Amino acid sequence: MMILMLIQITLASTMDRVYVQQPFTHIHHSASRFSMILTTFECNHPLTIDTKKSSSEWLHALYGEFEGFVMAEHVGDQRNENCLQYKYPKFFEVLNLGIGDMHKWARLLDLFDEGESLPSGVKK
Amino acid sequence: MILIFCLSFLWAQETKDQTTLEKAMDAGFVDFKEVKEVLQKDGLKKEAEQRQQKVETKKTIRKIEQKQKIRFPVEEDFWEIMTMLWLVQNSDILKWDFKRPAYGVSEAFDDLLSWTGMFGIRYKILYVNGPSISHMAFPGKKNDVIFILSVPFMKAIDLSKTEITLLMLEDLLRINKGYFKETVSPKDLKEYFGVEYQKKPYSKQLIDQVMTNYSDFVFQKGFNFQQQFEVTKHMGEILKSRLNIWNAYFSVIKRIDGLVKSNTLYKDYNRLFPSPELQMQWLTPAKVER
Repeated sequence: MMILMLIQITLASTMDRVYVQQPFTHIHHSASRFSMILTTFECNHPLTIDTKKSSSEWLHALYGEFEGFVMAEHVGDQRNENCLQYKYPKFFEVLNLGIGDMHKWARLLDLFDEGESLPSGVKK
Repeated sequence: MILIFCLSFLWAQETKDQTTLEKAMDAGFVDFKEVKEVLQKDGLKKEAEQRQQKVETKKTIRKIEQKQKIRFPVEEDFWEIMTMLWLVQNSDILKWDFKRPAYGVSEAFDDLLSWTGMFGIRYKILYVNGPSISHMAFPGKKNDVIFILSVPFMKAIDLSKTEITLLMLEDLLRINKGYFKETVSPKDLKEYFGVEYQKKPYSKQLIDQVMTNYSDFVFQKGFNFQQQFEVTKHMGEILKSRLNIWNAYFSVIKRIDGLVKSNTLYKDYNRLFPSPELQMQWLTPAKVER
């Protein structure tokens, strides 16, 4: 009984709850932006993360039947109040994005190489 | 028996309390004003007022939030949404969804921006696998820029990382000077920024107009001579303190000039960025006659 409880506690401690921070994001089959896309999630969608199987760049995500990898920079531990589609729901209603558009939007965010110019000595 | 005894005792006690209270009231001992004062002293009234105030504040915040939700995006959010939407809508022409290696351009661009002292610029680079855009910067949020770089174009003139970053710097200057937004904005667009839907209703037509303007600008019109002259001169000023980089920039323009004259795939380059030949002239220092 004690051993079972210990196993449960260990398992529970490796699971984390995160929320999508970008307007749209993908869960990939493996930890690569070019790997197969399993599904697309909207901003603020909660995901369960297995920290044991995650790296600093890719998090092992679980949601329902889906199990794959999500970009670490696309999620955060709190809801994003500044998500564009929640900030401007009327505007997005007018945009009338289809599923294909949402998929492509998330794909763009996958493929961008990002950077920031900072004075020397300042950490990113 | 015990239960009956207990109940009768409780009843007797209650009757006694009631009679005491009635007697006290008759004698004027219970002063309700005094009770009120005690309550005020305890801060109960204050607490009630604070609660009421909190409810009012919540209501006001909710009202503001509701108003914000139906407003047109503020300027910086608008350009980010429009650029992303245009890239989404034109994915088939641009061909950005392809497998590629890490080119390491970001690191080189960071170095160039640090050297020029242009700090606080956040950027995204999207590589495309077609010749429809050779290189171009698009507006995003404040201090955010989205760069498009064509891999076939870079390969056609065999650009090094440093040379690619020089074209990116050129594009960044164009964005900073506001040429892109200026050209693609419909007439009254500014009047919509941050305004509630009821005050200034908008339709998909306005967004479609911006999308058409984006395409016209990127594929057809491009920059004018005056804008090109200003950007080229500005580049010359920035780079002149490091001759090797200035030479690299001049060499890039020379190679582009050769490409647009020899390769029909890039014949439109001159129309979008007029023109590499003129740029070389503008960069060459004027000869001093003696």
